Parts: sequence; structure tokens; C-alpha cells
Amino acid sequence: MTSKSLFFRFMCEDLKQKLWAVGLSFLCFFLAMPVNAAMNLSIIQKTYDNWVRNGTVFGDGITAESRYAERLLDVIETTIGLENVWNVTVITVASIVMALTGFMYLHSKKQTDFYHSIPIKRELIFMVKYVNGVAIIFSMYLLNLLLTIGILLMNQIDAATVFTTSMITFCVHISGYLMNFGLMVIAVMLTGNFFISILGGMILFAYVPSVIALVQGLMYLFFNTINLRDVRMEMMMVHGSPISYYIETVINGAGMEYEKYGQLMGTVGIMFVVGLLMALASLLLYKKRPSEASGKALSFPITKAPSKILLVVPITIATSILFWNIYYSLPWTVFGFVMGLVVTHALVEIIYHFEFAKLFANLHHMGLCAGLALAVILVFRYDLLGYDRYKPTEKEFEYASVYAENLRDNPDYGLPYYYESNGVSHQSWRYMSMDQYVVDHMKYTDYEVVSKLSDAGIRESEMKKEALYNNVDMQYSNGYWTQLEVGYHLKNGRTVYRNYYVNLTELRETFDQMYESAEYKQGIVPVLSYDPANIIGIFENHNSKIQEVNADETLCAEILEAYKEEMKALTLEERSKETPVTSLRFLTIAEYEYICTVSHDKNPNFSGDFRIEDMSVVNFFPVYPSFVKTLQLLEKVGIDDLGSVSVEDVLRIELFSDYYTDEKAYYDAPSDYYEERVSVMTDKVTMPYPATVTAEHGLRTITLEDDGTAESVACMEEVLEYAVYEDLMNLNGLQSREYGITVRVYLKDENEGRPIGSQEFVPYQFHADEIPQFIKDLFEYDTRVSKNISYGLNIPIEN
Amino acid sequence: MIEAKNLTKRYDDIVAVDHINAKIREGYVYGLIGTNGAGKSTFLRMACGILKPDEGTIQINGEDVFENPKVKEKFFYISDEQYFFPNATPKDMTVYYKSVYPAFDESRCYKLLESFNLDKKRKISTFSKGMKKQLSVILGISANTDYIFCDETFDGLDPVMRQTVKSLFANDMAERNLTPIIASHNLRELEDICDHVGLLHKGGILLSKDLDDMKLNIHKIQCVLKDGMKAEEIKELNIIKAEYRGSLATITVRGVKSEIEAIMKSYEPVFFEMIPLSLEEIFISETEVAGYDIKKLIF
Repeated sequence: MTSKSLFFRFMCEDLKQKLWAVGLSFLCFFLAMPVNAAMNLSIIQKTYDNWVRNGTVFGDGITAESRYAERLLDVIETTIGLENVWNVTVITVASIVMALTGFMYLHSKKQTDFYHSIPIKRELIFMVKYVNGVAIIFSMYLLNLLLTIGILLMNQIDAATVFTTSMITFCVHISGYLMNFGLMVIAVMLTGNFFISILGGMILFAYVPSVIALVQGLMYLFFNTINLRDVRMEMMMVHGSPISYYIETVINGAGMEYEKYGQLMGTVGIMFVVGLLMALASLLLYKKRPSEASGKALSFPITKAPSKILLVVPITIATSILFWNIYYSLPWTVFGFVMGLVVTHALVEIIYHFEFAKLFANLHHMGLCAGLALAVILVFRYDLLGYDRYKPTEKEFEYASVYAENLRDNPDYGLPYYYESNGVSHQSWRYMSMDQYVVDHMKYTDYEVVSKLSDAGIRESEMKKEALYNNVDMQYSNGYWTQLEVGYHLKNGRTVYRNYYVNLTELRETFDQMYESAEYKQGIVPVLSYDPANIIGIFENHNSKIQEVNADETLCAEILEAYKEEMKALTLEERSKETPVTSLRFLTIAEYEYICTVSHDKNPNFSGDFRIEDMSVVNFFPVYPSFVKTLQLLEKVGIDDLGSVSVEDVLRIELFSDYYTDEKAYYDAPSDYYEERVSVMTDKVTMPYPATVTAEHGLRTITLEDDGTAESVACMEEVLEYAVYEDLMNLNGLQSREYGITVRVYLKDENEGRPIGSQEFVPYQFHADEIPQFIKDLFEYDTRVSKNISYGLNIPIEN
Repeated sequence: MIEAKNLTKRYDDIVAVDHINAKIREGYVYGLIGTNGAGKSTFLRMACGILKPDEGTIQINGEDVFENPKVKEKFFYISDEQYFFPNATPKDMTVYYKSVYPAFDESRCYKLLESFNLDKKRKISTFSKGMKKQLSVILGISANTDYIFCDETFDGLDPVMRQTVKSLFANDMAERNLTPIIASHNLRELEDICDHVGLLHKGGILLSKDLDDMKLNIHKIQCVLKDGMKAEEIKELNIIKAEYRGSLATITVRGVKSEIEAIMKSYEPVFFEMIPLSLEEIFISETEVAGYDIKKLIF
């Protein structure tokens, strides 16, 4: 008998024992694919019939037929494509079940004796069981795939797309199955008992992600400079388990255009190779596995101690940090440590021996585990690897991205982008946070400056640790503190990110030096990269009024160049003293096209957190009073009235005080709603005038209206003179600002004749040192106790 | 021939088979006797290639058994609790074994099933323990292998079936030189079938001898000696044991039967006769000589 014929004969005999798997997998795939497809197609047909019958209108260029065709294409993805979650579920569950049941005979002495006494080599037995474990599932998958393809083609769905999708999906599923099946077979090989195999499988599938999560937990607990941008750990978590890697691949592929499916082949190749390696490892283990391992916890006695240590050490650490996080107390942490250690070690020993009395066996191993767990904790606690102290040497350093939270000056930035789907080009909008922009664009090469900032951050981190471990509050020196994110780009191609908290006031010279450099500005102000040839128009925004600058191409380019030049020259000193007088948006061609598309069909391609109304306020950059040239050019095109709103245009002004600094104080205050007319005497307003003050829970609201008297007009003028339009205030965080008082200006043009509830207002705020005295009096406001003030660079330094 | 040299197997700290040396010749029935835990099953599982020896070798016709399908084709192993596929019928198992053993005789198997009154289409899970044992033996015999390893196979068989199986073995031994190796903890079970017996105890072989040799060299004499005479006075006899019931003496002696008879006659006893020893008695005698109390080891 040749080994080939023996293989197939033995395979057929084995298949007879697995007819249940054939039936069950056929049923699951039948429901997941052909039935699913038929149901979806039926629903789509009914919907289409309704559209035709009701004459539904979809918008320009979209007909019921085109929408129907679009829906039909969607069915491909949800039936034979990667968006069919049922297939993913069936394949994942099947890989575990088939591995367990296929090699479960190794857990029974009776069955092991049976298989290992017959005149067939173990490799052949293994191969037959392994191949059947894969072939049963995928023959049933293929059978149902063919049925589904038939159904789809009968409905006139594009054959090329159907075949491409089915092929790539098949490749993803089979490679994912091979990985998961392979690892579960390894779990069975390493164990000698059904339940221990399940436990072992769970451990193998979850171990790497769990340990990485634990390491992350330790880093968050013990390190101050940890930065989330480094995704290597997340990548390791995903790649550390075949299940997560397979699901990640499916998710990535599910959103992919058909034309780009080829990009998945690399991942499929990796999964396939890993699957094959796992099969080889399983075979090797099978050959080495002693038959007498049946019924025991672990097949290989040599793996007992290492497995236990690998399990007990992380669990001990995890329970320690869990108790630390709950109680922040050393005794409880020690309790967590001891509990995790003893319970896990005892459980493992009981499982190993299948005997409760052995719970304290191998106590020397427990001691070793305790030592290792303690060593790991100490490595993190004392930062023995120097994570928080990391700073590249000048030789290693190539350039850095430095993002200082409080130096940013344009909160909303975004870009339109194109993507292809079903052969059609679509547009969407991608918001970009400033820190992301900095990471992507800044190449700051001054090592000395970066080094000074890092040193300050490291010092603060060390002080914070010392305070924490000595159980005292961290004493921050007086000044304006800012979060700092530094990305060290090294010459070897690596990028290391760290977060710091530094005193901007103390490091003012260093920050000045950095802020004035072209490299820094280029990396933080997107407009500096704008090309005049790509600018289609300029928009100006102040006091909530957005208007297009009436300038031709040449003038637009001139304004852009002037703005870039003055922005480059802007210093921190100037920003600490100046409030933007207006803001400009240099509309690019891409943005214009996107807005046109959005405006045209009123049906934007929603992506992420995009809102159509945001389009009017994004990408506005501040214009400071010192931008003389820019302002002159604006004046030239008629934009010269950049002052505050005139009282004549104001219906009323409302001022709200958020004087309480916490919610508790608000609810503890008596419910003292009242409304009264008060007279105010200030230096500027020499005569009393009526204002309406209402209060609830001690929080007051002042309403100022033009009652026809000069006094009321003077008070309103004083508020309008000092209040700053909130959007402009947002563009410069280096000036002082009282967040506790908000000003709402109701304009006559927009609100006259409208009921109060539906009126619109323009929001304003005060600089901390420019709140009119009568407002302070009415609010009983005291700068010294207000906790809502941000002083920016103008923070008063206390000695 | 099956030959074990220095064969050793350990389960963690327990030495299940301890440096065993044994030879099992073809065409004879080899009985492997020992208490539970003596190492009989472990020995057989190593002989079948299920277990890999930790030390030493076990060979069939000069070839190692472990992972050697060619050698494995020469024997059929009937374990103490034979495995049958779930929901399988005798016919299913016949088809399966036929695909595995090249010389499997399917028609003989069906005939034997019929003669044993076992329905080939009935689910094996509904069979009694004895019926399953019968099925195992039938499948083993039908495999047409040179050796058949039986681990406690006769347990659960009624006396009639036991005799039938024994005659089956005898038939195949005669026809095709089958060599059954039978492990049991019960001496009486093997008495009338074994040609050669190996006694295992605590993983080692206490003795391994041909039953005929043992029987030829040890005899029991029942006699009434002259008045006042004791058996111990017959110095020419190699007496192992002497018991008395009144004047009737039962003497177990070593030696050649004819010589013993001549010696007895020379002492002119009132009456004497040579009676056969049971396997049990032979073992008692043999192991006592070796310093063991066989009753504690086997019964």
C-alpha cells in the first residue's frame, strides 16, 4: 500500500467520524451566505419597486436604477465579502472547535492507544487529522460560496467584482483559519486534558495582548512622560494573537475598495506563513508528545515550571497594581501581590496535579515567581530602564517635532481628501488636530533648544514622582505651565515620543528662540506651506461676520505672502500683548471644490466627526495688530472696520457669571432666584443707570439694554470696548482670559422682531485684567479668588 | 521473535518497567502475569509502539517497534478497554481495520462475527463488556498478524467464550504460527493456554520460563510413608515443601519424574502417587525459592 493511497483511505475513514462537522459547517455557511444573499436581494428588490412605484427622487444625477445598482454592489460585501461578520464568527469558532475535536483523542488513553498502535506513522495520523480539520470547513465554505456566487450572478451583479471579492475573502479567511486552528492545535498538543486544552488555548490566544496591556498599565502607573502616539505596543497587541490579527485584517479589508484588495495580499501572505509555521510546530510537538501524556495537565513535564512562571508573574503584578489603583496604599498593594501570587500559584499546582492537597507544592517556584514579579515592579517603580529620563544624544538626534499645547493658535484645521469606491471618486473631509499636524510636519533641528525643554520636562517628572512616593502634593513653581509633546526623530529612522509638563515662563528664552525659528513656525502654522497658486480666495472673520475679501489673484497672493512673512516674524512677546483683530481663511482649490460638492447635493460624505456647518469656521488664522502689511492690504480692499460692534447695532448684552468653581458650590447655594433693577456708579459712568440683575443659586446674570439714556449707552460701550470676540480670543492662548464671565451680544439686525428664545448672539469674553469695574461690582467679582482665569504669558509672578 | 533489552519506562518518579530483559518466541503463547501496577500494560504498550522506552529497546524480528509501521503490521493490540468509534458498528470497525492492516481478512471477520452471534450492523455502544471483548478478539484474529497482544482480554469473558477464544488462538497458532502475548493478573486464566510465562513485579521480571520446563522440574507427591517415617528423612529428594494430614504427606519436590519415582519406591511407602501441579502451585514454589510470597504478589 503506498503512503499516498493510505493517506486518502485514512482520510476518508477519519472523515466518516467527522460527518457532524460537515453538516454543521454546511448549515452555518448556508445561512451566512446563500440565505443571507437571497434575503438581502429580496429586500433590495422590494425597496426598488417601492421607489419606482412612489417616484422617489434622490437628487441630481441619482436615479432609482443607479441607487439599486449601488445597493446590489453592497450585497457582495455583506455576503461573500469581508463585511459578512457571520462568516468571520463561524470561521473563528470552527477553528477552535475543529482543533479541539480533531486532536481530542490525545486526551484519552483508550483512543491514544488505538491510534498509536495501528501500523500508521504518527506524521500521517497528524496530517490526516490536520488536513481534515481545514478541508471540512473550507470545502463547505467553498460550496456555499459557489451557491452564493450563482445567486449574485443571476441578479446581474458584476461578475468581475464578485470573483475578485470572493477570491480575496477566501484567502483572508483560510489564512486566518490556518493561524487560529494552528495555535489551538498547539494548545491541544501541549496539554493532556480537554478542559486544560481550552484553558491553554485561551492563554495562548490572549497571553501576548494581556502582557502588553499589563506593561502599558505599568507604564501609565509609573511613568510620567508616556505618550500615546507610539503605536508599537498597540500593534504588538493586535499582532500578538492570531484572532486579533485575523479580525484586524478583516476590518481593514472590509472598508477597502475592490481595486485596492491587492494591498491585503501582503497580510494574507503573513497569515498564511504563520499558519504553516504553526502547523509545522504542531507536527513537531505531536512527534515529541509522549502517549502517556493523556489525562495529564501538561504533555511535556519540562513546560510545567516555565508555564507556571509565565502565568503567575504577570497575574501577581496585575493584582498588585489593581489594588494600588483602588486604594493607593502600600499595605493593600502588598496584599494584592501576595494574594495574586499565592492564589495563582496554588491554582496552577492543583491543576498540574489534579489534587487539591498539592496547592502548596513547589514553594520554591512560588518564591522565584515572587522575586521575578517584584523585580519587574521595581524596574518600573524606579524606572531602571530610564524611560522617563530618555533624551537622545546629539549624535542620535536628527530633528524633533515639538508641540506646546498653549502655543497653538488655530484650533480648527482640516483638509479635504478624495477616495475611490466602486470605481467612483468621492470627497470627504478630515479634521487634523494641531498636535497631529505638528507630528507630521515639524522638523525642528536645534538640538540645544529641544534638549533644554526635555531637561525641564524630565526634572518636573522626577519631582512629581518624588512627591507622589513621599505622599505629598507636588509644588509647582509659579508661572505659565504647558503640556509639551516632543517627537525625537533619530538618525536611525526611529521616532520616540515623550510628553512633558514644563514652565513656559521659566523657559521663556528657550521658547522665544524656538518660536522665532522658521522650522518651528513651518511645522505649527499650516498656512506657511500654502502656495499662492492653490489659493482661490480669502475670507475674513471677526465679530461673527464672515466675508469674502474682494481681491483678484495677484492681490490674494500678495496678502498671503504678507501674512506668511508677518506670521514668521511674530514673537511670543507680541502674542502675549496682542489680541487678534481678525482672522483670515485662505481658501484652497481643494477646499473650494469640496465645499461646492457639499453645497451641491447637501449630502456630504460623512466621515468621522465632520459637520457641514463647521466648514464656515475652520482654517481661519489670526491676524495680529502688528501684522501691519497684511492689515494695510486688507484695508486696500475695503476691510478697515475691524473694531468692536457699535452700540447702535446692539439690541442687548447679557453677561453670565460662572463664579462658583465647582458644581457642589452651585447646588449647595440657596435657591435665591430674584430679579431686580440696580443702579450702578463707576468712575466712567457718573450717573446711575438701570441694569437688570437676575440670580439663581448665587449665579448672576446681568442684562444691559439701551433704554434711551446716555448712561446705558456708555455702560454698553464700555463692555463692547473691552470684550473680545470669542473666536479671536481662542486664536491666542498666551493672553490672559477670564473664562468665568461670558458675554452675549444680541445684534439688532439679526434679532429684532424675533422672540427671545430664538434669538442669536455673538459670544465674547474678557481679558482678566480688562473687566469693567461695574461688572465686577455687580458680580461681586474678585480676581484673586477666581479660579477660571488663564493668565497666559502675563501670569503675575509671586515671590 | 520479540526481544526486550534493558527495557525501562518511567512515569514521572515512578519506574513502571525497570530494565526488563525478555525474549518471546514465535508460535507459543506467552503469558505476562503480575499484579495491578506491575508493569504489564506498560510493557505491552511499549511492545506495540504506543510508548517510547526511556531506556533500552524492544524489537520485533530485530527491528525497533516505535514509529515503525512495517513492524506494526505484524501485530494487533487489544487493550484492556478497546476503543471503538462513536456510533460505529462491527462492520464499520471491520472496514476501518481493513484499511489499516494489509492482511485483514474481512470475510473471516464476518464469519466469526456470525459464529459469535454478534450482529455486524448493531451499534457497538449497545454491546455488553463481554461482547466488546469478543469483537476485539475477532478483529484481532482477522487482522492476520503474526502477534496478537492481549491486555486483560479474558476479563469479562464467560468460561464458554474464554474456551472459544482459546481455541481460536490455538487454531491460528497451528495454522499460521500466531503468537499471542497475553497479559493478566489472573494465573488461573492463563493456566491452560500459556506455553511460556513471565512474572512481572514492580516493573521487573521475577522469572520467565517455559511452563513445561517448570512442570518437568517440579512435582507433587502424595504418599503414606512407613510408620514413623517423615518425608524430610528421604535425603535424596530435593524437597521444597512438605505438608501432612494425618499420615498423608504431600511433598513438593524438584527433579526428574522418573528419578523421583525410583527414590520413592526405594523407601517402600505404603502408598504414593505423582499428581500434577497447577500453574499457581508451580509459581508459589518458584517464587518462594526466589524469596517472594507469591500469594501477596498475585492473588
